[in-house]
Amino acid sequence: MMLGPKALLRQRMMDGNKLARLSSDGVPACVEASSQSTDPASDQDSDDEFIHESSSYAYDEKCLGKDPYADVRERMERLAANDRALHATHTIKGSTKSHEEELSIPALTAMSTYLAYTVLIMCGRIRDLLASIFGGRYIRQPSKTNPVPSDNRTFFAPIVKSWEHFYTRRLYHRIQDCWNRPIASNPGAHIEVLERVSTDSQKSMKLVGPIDSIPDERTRNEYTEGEFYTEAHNGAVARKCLNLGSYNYLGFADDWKNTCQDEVMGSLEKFPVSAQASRNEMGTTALHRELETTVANFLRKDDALVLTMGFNTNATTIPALMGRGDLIISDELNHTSIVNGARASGAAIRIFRHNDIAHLEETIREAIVLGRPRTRRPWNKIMVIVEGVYSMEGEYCDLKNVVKVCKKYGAYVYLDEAHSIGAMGRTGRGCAEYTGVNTADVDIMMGTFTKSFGGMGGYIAASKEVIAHLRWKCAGSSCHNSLSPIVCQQVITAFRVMQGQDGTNLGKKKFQDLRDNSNYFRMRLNEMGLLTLGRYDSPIMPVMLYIPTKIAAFSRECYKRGLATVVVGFPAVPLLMARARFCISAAHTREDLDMALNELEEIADILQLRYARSPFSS
Amino acid sequence: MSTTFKFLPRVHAIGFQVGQAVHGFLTTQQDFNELWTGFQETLPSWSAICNFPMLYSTWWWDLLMKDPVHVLVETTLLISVIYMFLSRSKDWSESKNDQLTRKEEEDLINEWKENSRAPLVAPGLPTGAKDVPTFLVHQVQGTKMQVSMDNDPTKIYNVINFGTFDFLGMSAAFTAPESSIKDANGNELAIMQEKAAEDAYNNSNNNFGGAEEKKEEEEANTTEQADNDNSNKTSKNGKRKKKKNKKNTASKAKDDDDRLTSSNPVKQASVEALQRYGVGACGPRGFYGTIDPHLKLEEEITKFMGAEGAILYSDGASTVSSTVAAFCKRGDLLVVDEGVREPLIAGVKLSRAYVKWFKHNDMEDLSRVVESVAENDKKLGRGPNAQRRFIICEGLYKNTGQIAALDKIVALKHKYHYRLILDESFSFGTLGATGRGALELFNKKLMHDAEVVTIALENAIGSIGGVTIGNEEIVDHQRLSGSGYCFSAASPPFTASAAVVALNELKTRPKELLTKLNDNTQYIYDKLRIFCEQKEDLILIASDMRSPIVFLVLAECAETEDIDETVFLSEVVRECLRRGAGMVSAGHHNTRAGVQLLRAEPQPSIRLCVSAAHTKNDMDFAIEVLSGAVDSVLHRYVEGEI
Repeated sequence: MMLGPKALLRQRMMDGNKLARLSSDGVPACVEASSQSTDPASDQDSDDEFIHESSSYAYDEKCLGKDPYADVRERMERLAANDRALHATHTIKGSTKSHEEELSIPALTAMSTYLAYTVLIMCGRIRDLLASIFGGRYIRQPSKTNPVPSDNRTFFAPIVKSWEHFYTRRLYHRIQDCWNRPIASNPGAHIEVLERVSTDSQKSMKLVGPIDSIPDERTRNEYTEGEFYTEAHNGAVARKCLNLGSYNYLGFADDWKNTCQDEVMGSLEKFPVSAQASRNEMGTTALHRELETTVANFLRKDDALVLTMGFNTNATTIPALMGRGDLIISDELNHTSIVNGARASGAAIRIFRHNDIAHLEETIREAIVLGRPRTRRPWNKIMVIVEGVYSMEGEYCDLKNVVKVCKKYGAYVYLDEAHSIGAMGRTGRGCAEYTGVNTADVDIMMGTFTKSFGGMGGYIAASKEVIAHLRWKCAGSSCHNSLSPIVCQQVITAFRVMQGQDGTNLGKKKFQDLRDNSNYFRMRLNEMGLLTLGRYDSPIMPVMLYIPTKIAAFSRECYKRGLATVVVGFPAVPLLMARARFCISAAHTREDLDMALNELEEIADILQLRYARSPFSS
Repeated sequence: MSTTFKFLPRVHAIGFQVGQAVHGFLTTQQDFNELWTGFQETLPSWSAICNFPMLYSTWWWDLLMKDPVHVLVETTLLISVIYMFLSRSKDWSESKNDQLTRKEEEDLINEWKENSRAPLVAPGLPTGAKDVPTFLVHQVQGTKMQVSMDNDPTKIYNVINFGTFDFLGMSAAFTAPESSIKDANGNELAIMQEKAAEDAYNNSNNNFGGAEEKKEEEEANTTEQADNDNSNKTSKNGKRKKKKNKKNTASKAKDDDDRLTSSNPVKQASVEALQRYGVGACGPRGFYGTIDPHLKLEEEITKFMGAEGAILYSDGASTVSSTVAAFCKRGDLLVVDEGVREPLIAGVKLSRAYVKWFKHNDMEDLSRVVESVAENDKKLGRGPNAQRRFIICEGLYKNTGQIAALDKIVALKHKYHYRLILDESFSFGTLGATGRGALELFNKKLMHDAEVVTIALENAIGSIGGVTIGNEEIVDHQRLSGSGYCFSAASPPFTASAAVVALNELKTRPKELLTKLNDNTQYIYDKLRIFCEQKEDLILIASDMRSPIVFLVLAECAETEDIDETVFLSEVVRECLRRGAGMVSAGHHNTRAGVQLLRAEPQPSIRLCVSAAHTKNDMDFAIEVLSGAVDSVLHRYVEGEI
């Protein structure tokens, strides 16, 4: 019997009764049922592996101390194992499209979302009309004393296109207090968010500044009331919040002073902040080399190349590898940096449905059989680009099958581990380790240091030959400024801690904490009936909001309750797919998460967010 | 026909009856039968329906009798139409049979995999890669650094740094006192001395202290002063002890702070920010990655440049490429200088706009291009506001050391109504009386004469990141559309703090820094001119005399005809490094990389960067070294060793 996508989804939602039906060895009943309908051999070995995997996730009390999740551990581990098995089985079978189904919006919700946008757009248009008659803050008035020529519309086309600007001024600006919130502390588990206020009806936001600068006593009291009020280091009014938004997966922002400070300060004695030259000129320091060796050893690759910015690592490496006559096959949800890189390369680009291996295979077959468009000559090379963990979905890549398919057809694999390096796998080696793929089978491994390592920059790990080529060909290496040596040191130190080379088991504890925190949070979110995307073991969990008004409401309600959360709307996700996103960190404690979850429970009631239960979300 | 006419008015009647029937059926079911009979009456009579085939055949027969040709033609046409439909559908079905079988597909795939598939990279190193030296910097101390070369970390050379873009000496100021390097030398680094370079400076190279004393006599640069303040407080040994002895960490760290904070304001800010915020920002600007130093930096640079706003990116290169791609879209027109650096080219590529190139810094060519566009406009009968138009250039060109002729560009831009995107990454902090860049040099106004200005903070400012400045509209638009801003993590907050202080330095003592830089630039060009004469104009100066980035190229003449420029100049650079001056062999991005990173390949050259931190001695020494190196390489060339 095959489970339908809805059923799969429901299966993943926590339900006490369902748990009872799990078979004793931790493999859920539904998986056994579905395995009967397919090739038994392929399922057999994947099941074996996941049993093996789950047993290796046992909590080591001797080494890590008391288990904060002892009471729910069994439930958590079962759910996680269940989820892993589901992820593996239905993708082996081809496309059950559970993910697509998940991403597709229920008809009723879609209608109400469209309605909401219609109202917003109509209001915006009316405001535009009124503004064009009476003038307004968005109509740029040429200054009479100092006229700027480009404001003259008879000679200059407007600098911004109308729809984009319309979206910005009439939709985004109305709720812009939900984004770009400045903080005045390290981006750890608890942050001080600086309070902002808008004096021009949300066109721009200004910092409130010191409390004494507010003349009105009532406003002053509004800020100071409650448990969250605090003063930032510069005296400005701030709010203490639990940080559920930063990519501080391993918590290096929290214990920086204990783990990295000495060595980073030490590197400042030897090197300047910026190397002020490109890697190929005089911008390569001994620290760069050391970091490259560390990365290569960590990922069991021959060599590595580190560049100054994660975004540019993708945007410059892909053009260096691919060109005219080549084909890039890219997952539909890949990050903008990959899209930019692919577009700049001049290679042909095909898209496959997210994580849909059958569609990937079909795309590759068709590409090879048909050859290049028009000339029908064979492609020079084909590269498949996937991400380890998708930052807006929380879903990890089905790497095992991607590699299998690519091997079969001779395509190269490019894996972007921006969010998975350090955050997935038992020793933090990313998606490859987590899905049990030998890194030798992944031709190009890319990742960033911004997230788990609390640094900056990106790396490419590959064979010696490829790296030697990239050193010359990649614009990031030959033209752009090199990574700051100070940041190099930070990342090297973080690697040392992660691998336990600092002589403590702090690294091990970080991995365990991150995984437990994420799974606990996800379990509780699912229990609550929130429509949570992604999979167990992934530290990113988006919760669907859909309706534009809920974006702001959710963010503001959370902020009121001392939770700093991220809400995501257009352009980072499709217009209809607005969501909130939680990023869990190893630095969170169970108390933090319980506090957050209790508040979320309340918010879910107020905003009617329980979309997993019904499209009416009640 | 008559039946149809009779039938028409009855439609209403039928409708009415049906309505009645439904109504009746729903309300009272009693008089349903009555209604039904009424309904039946209104229907067209049964006989009319029965007679229809008869009528039709009669009509047809009549037609055939009256006009047989007409019937014949129409029938043929009808049949052919039907045939064409059928035959087309037959073709479709045939094409289905045409599809490859699974087996054939497999064959094709295997064939591709075995024969046609190219390796991921071409085997062997890219052509010319070996010719160019690669450097590994082991330590930076003021204007001096320890560098090894060509993947051989055992041979470390003490050199004076002419290789990095440290125009204002901000990085020189960032580094620790001289004393620590002595210890480092003594303890672990075996400094190699080349026998070839047997001049007086060799001795001082062994020991930076010697050079330092001379330097101090010459002039008291602020950075050195700062270093001098605590020259004896640190030692590398102390640091090493600290690493071993974790218990002492706290107190040692405090010692470190005291020492560091007393050194100079830029470094102090950096250390303070590190202690408060750690290193990473752990997120994009939109999602709690905005930390107060970022805002402070945006505010400061806005004030400094007199703009309406500034937007901070986390990397200089993506500042440029994202800015160009944010404003230039499909259908826009870009007029771009051929000599621009790579990030601008990447931005232009990403924009997918129409691009017209003009020859590097050639104003006649630029006016030719814009005039041809204006002529075309006239032909098409459209105004300049039909599309967004941009001229894109750099203030100081990184790859050629030329300064854009902004006066002419601005005049053309105003005349033909273009916007100007000006990359001031290398001119900011180097040109103009107060370091505000090429706009200041040419006395042009921001927003009025250049709408969008990008500045990398990685060169003169010596930090990480870049900013785009302009009017409010331009800045606000990028906060959602600048892909490097929106989709990339923010820069580490300590770099923003460092940049704020560096900017403040530039603001508070522009004279000291810029006068020094200009003097140094002038000095080195004077010296170089003499040097070129000595070398019988075999080597020429290729850069603008106001540019602190100096390019030296091999002259094209009979003597140099069979010399490979890249090999020769790279060898000179290697020789210079061995003799104690760090320079860069530049201008072969495309050939070396085998991909077109730049639009026009700059000439192979030697690049020197002058800094405000350099002393006259440094520069004299560099030129002496250069002169010796050129002679020695030339000699080897004649001998046939290369």
